[in-house]
Amino acid sequence: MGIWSQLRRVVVGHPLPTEQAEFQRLPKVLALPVFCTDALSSSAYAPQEILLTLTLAGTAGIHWVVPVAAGIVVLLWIVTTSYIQTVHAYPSGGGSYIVAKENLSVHMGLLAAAALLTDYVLTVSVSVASGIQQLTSLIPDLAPLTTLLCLGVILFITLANLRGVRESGTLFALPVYFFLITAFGMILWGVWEHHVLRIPPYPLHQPQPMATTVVTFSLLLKAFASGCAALTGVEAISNGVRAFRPPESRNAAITLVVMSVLLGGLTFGISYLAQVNHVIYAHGIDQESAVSLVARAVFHDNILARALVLIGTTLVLLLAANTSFADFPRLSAILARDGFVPRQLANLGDRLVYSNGIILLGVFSSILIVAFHGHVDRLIPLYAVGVFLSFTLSQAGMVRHWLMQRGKGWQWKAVVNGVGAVITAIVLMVVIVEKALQGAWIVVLIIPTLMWLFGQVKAHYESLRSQLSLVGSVPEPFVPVPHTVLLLVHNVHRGVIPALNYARQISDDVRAIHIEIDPANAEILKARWMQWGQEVPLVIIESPFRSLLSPLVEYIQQVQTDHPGHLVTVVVPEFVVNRWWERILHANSAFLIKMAVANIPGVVVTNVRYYLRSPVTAVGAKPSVASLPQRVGDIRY
Amino acid sequence: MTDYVLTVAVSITAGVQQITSFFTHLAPYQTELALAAIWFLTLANLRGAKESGLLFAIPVYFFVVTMLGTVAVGVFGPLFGYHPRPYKPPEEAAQQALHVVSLGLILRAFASGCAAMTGIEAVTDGVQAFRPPESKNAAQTLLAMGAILSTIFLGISYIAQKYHIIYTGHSEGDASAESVISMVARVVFHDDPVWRGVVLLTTTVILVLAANTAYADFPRLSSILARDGYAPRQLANLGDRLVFSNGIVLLAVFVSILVIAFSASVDRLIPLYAVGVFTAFTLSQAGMVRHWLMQRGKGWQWKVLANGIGAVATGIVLLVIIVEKGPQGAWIVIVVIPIIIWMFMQVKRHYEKVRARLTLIGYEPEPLPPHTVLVLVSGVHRGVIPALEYAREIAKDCRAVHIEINPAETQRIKDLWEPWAGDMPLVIIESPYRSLIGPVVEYVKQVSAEHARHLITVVVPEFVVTKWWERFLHYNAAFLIKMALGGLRGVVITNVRYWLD
Repeated sequence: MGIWSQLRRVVVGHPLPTEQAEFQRLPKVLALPVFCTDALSSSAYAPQEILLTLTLAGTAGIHWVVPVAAGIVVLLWIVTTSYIQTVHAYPSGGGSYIVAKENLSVHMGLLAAAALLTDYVLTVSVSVASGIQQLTSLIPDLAPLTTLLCLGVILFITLANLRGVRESGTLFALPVYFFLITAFGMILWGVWEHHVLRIPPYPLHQPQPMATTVVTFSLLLKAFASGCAALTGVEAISNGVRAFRPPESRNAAITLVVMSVLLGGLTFGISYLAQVNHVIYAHGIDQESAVSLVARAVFHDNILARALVLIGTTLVLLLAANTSFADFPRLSAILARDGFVPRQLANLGDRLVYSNGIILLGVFSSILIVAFHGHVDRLIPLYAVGVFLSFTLSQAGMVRHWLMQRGKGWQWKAVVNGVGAVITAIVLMVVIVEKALQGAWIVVLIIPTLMWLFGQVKAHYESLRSQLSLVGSVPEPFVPVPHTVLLLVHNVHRGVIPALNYARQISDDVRAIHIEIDPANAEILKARWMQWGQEVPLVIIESPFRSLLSPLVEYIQQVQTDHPGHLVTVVVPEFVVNRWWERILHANSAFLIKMAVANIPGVVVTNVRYYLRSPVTAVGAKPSVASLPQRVGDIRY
Repeated sequence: MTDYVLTVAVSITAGVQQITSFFTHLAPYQTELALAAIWFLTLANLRGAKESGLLFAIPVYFFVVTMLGTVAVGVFGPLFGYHPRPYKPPEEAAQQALHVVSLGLILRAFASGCAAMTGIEAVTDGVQAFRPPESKNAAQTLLAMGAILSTIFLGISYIAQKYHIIYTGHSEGDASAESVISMVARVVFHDDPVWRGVVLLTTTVILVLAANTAYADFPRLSSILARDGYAPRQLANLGDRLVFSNGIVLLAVFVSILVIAFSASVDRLIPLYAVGVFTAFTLSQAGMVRHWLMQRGKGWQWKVLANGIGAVATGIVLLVIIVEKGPQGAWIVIVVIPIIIWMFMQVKRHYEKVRARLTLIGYEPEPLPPHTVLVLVSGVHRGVIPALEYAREIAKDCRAVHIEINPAETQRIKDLWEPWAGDMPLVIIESPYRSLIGPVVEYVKQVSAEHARHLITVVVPEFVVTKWWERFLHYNAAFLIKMALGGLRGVVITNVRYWLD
């Protein structure tokens, strides 16, 4: 086992056999952390983005935080209701891609898939960036290292996922429940303080808001569009129904409802506390996070309580990135099985996870982090487009589904999904219009590009399939054809002998070919070939320009035209040195020849190796014929 | 060899310094300019020696004339009432001028000045490039060169001293210093930009051409070393333009590294240069002494004496340089030269060893062993058929091997196998960890252990896609399998390709 495979074992773990696949399923208590962290953690940045927008309007804007948050919660429930129906209709796990593809059209499905894939990548980047922001709010000295910290975290999560989902489920459950307790604890304490104890807002050391300006409808829409980031991740459960314990649909639906209750409570609670405590949030890489500001206000700058809340938030955000690591590889594997992305993405690695998809996600999200310097407020505008696009398509697909099936109560179900589709479509328009200039245009460009790539890949696989297909052709009995073997001889030495033997082994028509680079050498070569060539004819080809490849290629092409229908094999002798640096001391022409000749259709290239390691001096010492074949180590083909 | 590399580096950077003395705003781009000049020379030399020879003559004579002219005006001008205008150094330089007069700095100036002599050796090495009678022509050229060189050198130094030209070198924070020649030209021609431009231009050209001599010599020397087995054999290959292309490219690469490492600063390169040059001088002089002692031809005593003095003198200079300039970078050369010698030895040893193992002395032909062929099949499709036919063609004992990654596929393959290749046994190997390479390697090892004296060929079918990006859409398993099996002894791997339209 090489050093790399050993390192791999340590980091990723031992390989798992295929039979264990069935057991990688999750109970509800563990499914919540694995699939819902994305949604739950949205509460860390969604109120922050609402604040960021409304702060532009000064003190008047701040009074609109709670109404906007309420709007978001209503939207959340519309979407959740729609998804409960999806989970029941597609117990095998579908999500937007499958729903849209089956009910609308393949193109709509691909649109949803492209939207989702971009979205998963953004989820990782946004969650990690936001998590690190929480951390730097707690320890401001770390702020300059933001990008590096983000990259380190992505690497860590990638490795954890390469080990497998079950283990990461256990690994991630504890922090999620810790987050829920601390965050709800903070909200309850804050409400208690404000309403029961009637303590006036704690004064925060922050810049005074600008003088009141008019709160326009457009500004409210902008704030709403920003807050829509809260809904990211709601669809995660519907994609992963298969990972639940049976009965899958029921368990998934219950988890979905629990998740929406928690998410709604968190988003609304944090926004509410931000408003009553007059929290202001502005742009800037070293800006303290909204959660940190709220905690400061609620706990009156108590460092311990604030630390607990922030640590919980950080952990859950980092784990939210993990949701994507479960979903992205799964979706890309489904796409790969349908032939829209490279097939390698459908490979189950030796730990029973889609290793290639995991690595791909890690790479893309790292690129985003580097491009945006790990700045969460600049990443968010890119985010919601993909989410709402896939919501809309999935809901529309469900409407179609009910219309086709007309099962029990189909009218009611169609209305529910119809309302969902219309509303998410409207929100999508709002998000694109309001956020286009802030970066959403990138996503608007990338999604069609991805769809085009899917089409190209599919076309390639289709054409390949038709070319490789045996359908329509009839097996013919094997008829041997004449076989000409060309043995390249650069020099007559021990390293050529195995190749010569091999050539004689596979055919009776063998010719030795020598490309004459130094005419003085050719005479010596002829004489030696007479002695050692085992009566194989030697052809000498002149090369006036001292080039090895082109005369050879020309000769082979001539042989092919002279003997149409012949099978032509080129045997290249190669001797293998012991140490890597010794390789630079030889011309390595065998490799170049292989590259050049292998591109001639109809020619098979074989190289026969001779290993230098064995002590050949023994041959000179004991020239006994009988001893030679027994020392297998000496004659290596 | 180190020396040739340094010759190019020093000449090019000095040439560039002339340019930047004239066009001062180019100073920040010294490194880039030097690299461009190096690669231009490389390309010229890859075209061939004859052409670059023609390119040579005119600028050389032009340079000699302008330099002698400058010196003549500078030295003899005062006799005819023409007075060069003394150089007005900038103020800081004047401050430093007080410290200039110290023994160490005089020695340093001398050592640096000796670099001027390095051109001499180039002539002796290049003897074979002269028209016959080579020796006589070469000796005459050498003498003429020595005379011209010493005149110019002494003249420049005289003018520089007389008119208090102070060369401060690259001081900290100063990207470039004006070259001495530029300052001399300034003095002699009263700051007239036309004359100064002409002088600097010819100097630049001659320096670049000096670099070119190394381009002729380095590849020649390295090809001699390669033929004797001390350097990689590729260096002895004549390229298709009849030049030692590999040596030329190697030289260019090393020089580029040096120029970048020293950010094209002449003053920092000179110390390295001088050590190499004087080591070579001393050794060649000592060798000549030995030569005369062995031959004892007519008048050998005189000849021994001449070369002996030469050896001692250059030896002393070498010591001076090492002591004075050691800390400034000369140590690099002192370290590098033994390492290069050690590498030569290693290379030689390797070639000797290979020769011993490739010899046919004592080898007896043996009967051909039985031949077993394994064909790896991923499924039954068109891409596999040519491989199956090829296997049948080259041996009687053929088996197909399928690695079972997806058990659901196996039955389908078995069903298709019967009509398409029913007469060839199909071996199915389970792969519980879904890996392809491991089970293949295991099975091949097992077969070669069972049939110890068999010749085993593994045939790997491969289909070739038409566009480069399409390659990313396939596993490229054929390549990975070839890599993995390549290490197994007694196994030949052949891949049979199927071309897609």
